[in-house]
Amino acid sequence: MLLVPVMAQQGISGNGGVDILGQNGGIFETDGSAFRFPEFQDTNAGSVTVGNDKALAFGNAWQKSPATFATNNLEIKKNQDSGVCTCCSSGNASCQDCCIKVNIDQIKIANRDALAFGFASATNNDKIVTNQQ
Amino acid sequence: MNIKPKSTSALLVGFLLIFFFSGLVVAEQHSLGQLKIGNETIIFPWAMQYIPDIYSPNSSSISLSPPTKDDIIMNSTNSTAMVQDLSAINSEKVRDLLYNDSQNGDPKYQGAFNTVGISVSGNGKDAVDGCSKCPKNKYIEQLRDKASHLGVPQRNATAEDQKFSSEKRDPYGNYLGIDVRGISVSAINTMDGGSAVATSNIIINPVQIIDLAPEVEEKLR
Repeated sequence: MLLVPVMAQQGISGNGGVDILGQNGGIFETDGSAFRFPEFQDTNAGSVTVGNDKALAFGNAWQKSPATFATNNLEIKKNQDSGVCTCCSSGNASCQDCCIKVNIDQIKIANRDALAFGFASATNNDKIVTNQQ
Repeated sequence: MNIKPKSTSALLVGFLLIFFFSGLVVAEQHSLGQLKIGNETIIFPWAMQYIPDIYSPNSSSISLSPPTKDDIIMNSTNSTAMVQDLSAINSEKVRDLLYNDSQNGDPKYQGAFNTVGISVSGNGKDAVDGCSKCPKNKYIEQLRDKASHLGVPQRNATAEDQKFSSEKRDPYGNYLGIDVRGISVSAINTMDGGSAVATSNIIINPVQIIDLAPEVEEKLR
């Protein structure tokens, strides 16, 4: 477990940032861990960050059925396809890539607040679909 | 003889009340009519600075304003949007935001590289990264930087130079960042028999595909 962060630190360019599968041999570092990937690969890297969303509905206290609606609908559907390739022969000196694929997805969702007062309805709907191949 | 204690008690109670309310004001300004939940502050309708004239004789008994619908279209060349808080007071408001675009390989990189950063930001405070004033998404920025720092052919390179090097090539692939934050909707109905509807629809459907021609694939090896 300690080996991977050490390997990553060796390749990080020193700016304190994250070397995402690029200039230092394919290092991917998240908040708590770091991973090293093959130097040559076909990459799908995706990041989905959804911050705080809020739905707030104030209805009448004297109205029997809810006639106040606050709705927050969010749908994210992403597709990433890094393609197909045929592996080159190992006897070829210039062969560097044998169609190694790396798929990375970071999804971070923050607070979803839905507050309704009186005869009211507040809704947060979130749908996130990710495909990588 | 009994008057003195009463007046003293009333004076004491009055003093305590004044002290209590003044303490509230000092401790938290505008605390009345506001509700704090974590880092969020919700302002109730009666505490808003702008009070709509909903009780004027000219106002409709059902709805004060006609329904409105806003459409926002985004794509890979227009991938950043700033939206306001959606608030419907005795009315109906709908906002649709749609991102629907496909990338099939940047010709600049011979079809081997796709990158896009999609950002939709509202007015609401955000604590997804621990603070609201922090950089929006470091990951997206780095994805964008990656496009300019990749070892793939430069813009001013000659056609011959644009062949991928056989000694070393950078990994090609799809890089995508989506950042949606601070979306707030509120509906307020203050009228008997009235209604209020506020709806925010955000649909983001990006597609990234690398479909290399055989000759390009050969050069990548």
